[in-house]
Amino acid sequence: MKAAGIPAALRVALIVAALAAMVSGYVWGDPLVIWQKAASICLECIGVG
Amino acid sequence: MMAPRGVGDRLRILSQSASFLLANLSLKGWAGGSIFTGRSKMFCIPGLHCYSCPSSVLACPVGSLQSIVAADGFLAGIATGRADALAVLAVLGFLLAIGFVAGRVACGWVCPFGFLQDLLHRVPSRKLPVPAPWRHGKYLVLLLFVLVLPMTLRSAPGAGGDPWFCKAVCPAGTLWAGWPLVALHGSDTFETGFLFTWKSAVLVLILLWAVVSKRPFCRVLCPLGAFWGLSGRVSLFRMRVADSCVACGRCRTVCPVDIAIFREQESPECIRCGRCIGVCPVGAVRHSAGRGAPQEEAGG
Repeated sequence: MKAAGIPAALRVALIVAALAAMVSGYVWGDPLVIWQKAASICLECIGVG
Repeated sequence: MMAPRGVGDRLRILSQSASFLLANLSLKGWAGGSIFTGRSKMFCIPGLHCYSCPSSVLACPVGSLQSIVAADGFLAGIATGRADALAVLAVLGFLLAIGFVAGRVACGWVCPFGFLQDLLHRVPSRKLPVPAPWRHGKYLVLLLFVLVLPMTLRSAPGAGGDPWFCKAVCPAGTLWAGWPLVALHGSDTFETGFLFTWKSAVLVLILLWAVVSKRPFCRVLCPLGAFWGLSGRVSLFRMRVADSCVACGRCRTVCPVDIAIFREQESPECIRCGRCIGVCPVGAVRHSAGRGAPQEEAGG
């Protein structure tokens, strides 16, 4: 099936699935992993690590 | 040729400016050379903006993704439901949700680095096209520097991998974090060497390139652009061109990513900025939601 022919309902379902994945990542995953990386200076980003 | 700016253009500049300000609400870091450590950094900005920028209050999605997949035993962690590995769903779900709603819309309306390139391209100079095959480069960057290298390259058994995109490529990190932090701390605190010089050179080249070409980083190197370009193939909101199109090419002239929308309605390059809508002399270009097949075939 070409992308152009995908019905709107399926497109909406994909959005809902992505949002569900995001919520489950925050609920069952450990979002502090994201925070820990973001809240300390990233030496690689600066170009010294 | 510089096209006149319409309401949509002004609205987009307002959105880009507001997004930049909202992502940089913590100004005190600039005084002390520190970075913001609040819990808002558990959430990602929909764009490329370094979380080590002194004023940034959000996380970079590309950096977050790399740091999660680079953890030792990431794939085994997914299989066994380890919490630190499952955090990848938070980042991927966030990115996919945006992509499934409107593809690369965040590139055009939010991303600070895209905004910077838009501004740089206004500098009067000779303008050069970006060769079309180069657009595939960003998919390689996504695959290699964001996923494969962080997951596989290890300095020692049991050690985590490095965020190779941040380390070797990301110009936003150098601009918003590297240069400011090294300037604020001095090179005694952060020992600058080859990597810093390399990243600075990459940044300067990209900034100069943005003066002469339209959004070169977004089109050739950005892994977020690649991700949203792919997910945007099935996005709910897309651009549509009606049968009344006269294929005059004005849309391409004003397009920030240099596509002729009447030829490439499903282009993964489209950043949904809507400039083509404003300049179309016959009103053939529009936003569309729902089933993708156009009601009428485009002309030209």
